Amino acid sequence: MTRWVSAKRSGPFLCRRKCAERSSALRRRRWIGALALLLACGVASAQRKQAGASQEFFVEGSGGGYDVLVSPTFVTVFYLPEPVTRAFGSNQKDFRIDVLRDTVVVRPVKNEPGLTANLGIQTKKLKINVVLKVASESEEALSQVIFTRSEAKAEIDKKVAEALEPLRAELVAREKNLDELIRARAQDEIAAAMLRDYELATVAGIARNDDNIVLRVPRAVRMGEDRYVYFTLQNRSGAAFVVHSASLLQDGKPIQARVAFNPRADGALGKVEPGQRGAGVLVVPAGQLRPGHTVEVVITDGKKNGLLSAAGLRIP
Amino acid sequence: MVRAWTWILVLGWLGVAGVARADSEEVTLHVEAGPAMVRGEAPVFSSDVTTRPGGAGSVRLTYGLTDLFAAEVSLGGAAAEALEYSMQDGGDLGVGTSHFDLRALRVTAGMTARFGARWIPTATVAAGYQHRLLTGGMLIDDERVLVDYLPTESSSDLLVMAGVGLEYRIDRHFIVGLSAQLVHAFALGGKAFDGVEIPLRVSYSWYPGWFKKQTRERLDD
Repeated sequence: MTRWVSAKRSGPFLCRRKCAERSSALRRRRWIGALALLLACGVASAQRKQAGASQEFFVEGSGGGYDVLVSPTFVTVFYLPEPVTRAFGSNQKDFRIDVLRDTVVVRPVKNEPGLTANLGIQTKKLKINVVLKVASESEEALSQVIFTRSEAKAEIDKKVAEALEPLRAELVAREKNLDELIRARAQDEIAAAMLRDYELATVAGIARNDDNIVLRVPRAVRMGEDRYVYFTLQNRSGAAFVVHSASLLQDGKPIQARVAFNPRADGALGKVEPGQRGAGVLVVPAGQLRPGHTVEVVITDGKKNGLLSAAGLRIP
Repeated sequence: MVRAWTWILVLGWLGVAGVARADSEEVTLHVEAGPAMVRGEAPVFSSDVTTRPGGAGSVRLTYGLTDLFAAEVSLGGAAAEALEYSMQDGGDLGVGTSHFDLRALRVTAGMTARFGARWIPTATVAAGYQHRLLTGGMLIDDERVLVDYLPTESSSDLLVMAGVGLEYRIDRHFIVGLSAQLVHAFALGGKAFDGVEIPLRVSYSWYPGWFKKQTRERLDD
């Protein structure tokens, strides 16, 4: 199945005299363009690719049929993967056709939208038939059509894959090293913080709510300038307790603290099944707490009656 | 039939136990009172036994040692009016009915297993000291006419108690419950005493943190 391809025209007109020297440059562009397309899109076997005034066709087997819109205001250059042995048009009166090694240049003589003609192109291994049609608007016409053999594309894919493989391996190794680097860095930071200041405090906070959820805050650790407040939740009710948030208050004002909880839950901080326990850690960065003032751990489940609060806790 | 009902009651009692049974670290103050049936030997003239309805009550304080067990101390008492022993040979006073009123004060310590969270089946054992007074003693004849007053008798008892109960937690603080307990007093130099008590209780729970201290430990300690 074929379809008419339209594209915005861009770039200068192609001068016939310069076609030969530009064809080699365009061939290189062809490869670069193909590589770029492969890298950008990762599409392996597309039949057509639209790229502004340029269009590339991947030719399978020994040839195929294609439709191309042309315009009398500029030439349309067909690039073949090998030298053209023969090119002929069904309407040579209205379409001017020139052959230059592996390039065929076509330009309609008359500006008659809808005027069509067949263009047959033969190379040593390919037989390509193009239905030329004069576009109603010059912007719809193509200035450049590139035919690439699918085998060549596969070869390009292979080369790209081969070229990418060491990069990919390097990326994987770098990611692995990055994890190790991060871990090592964190361990160094922890060790340094422990040497600066380390204090383990028995906090002994405990509270419960009307739904028989028991909050315990047994211990807190000061490591360096940061504090870690450990808490547990025991669900004595008959329904799962969804942990909506866990926060720390001092003098009634919230303290900026990160929190981790296990077991986790989708859309919530965590979830504790009936009869089970969960545990969490509030991480309080340096400079958040006022020394000598007690703190309060507050747990919510998103409902008013789910509020749990253990107050009067002395964090080191 | 009685055996079947016993099993049904026991299974039902255990069936209301929740999946969790934690009251660890929680202190509960129970105030309880209810009817009792007491059975005591005659303090004078004979070893006859009589049974009378009465009442008992106590104030108990429990502390959750673990999720299951709570230790408790209790201060309580029991009372029963008109423990009467007929056909008592009063010697010079003649034969008649001896009449006493029971007053008992007790201090016990024990352990309670709590098997639930919202509905809480309980099982309690306790032991302690009981001081028992038989006051208002008198000997009356068949016409229920006073023959003579009898002296007040007192007894020190080693008390053992065992009971089961069912409590319901209303909220984080308040609990109500009902229990049935058997009481046996080993009289230290007196007459034995038994009782069956069915107290209704109202309880208040909180976390005082009595046995938890906030401590700190440094890395170089």
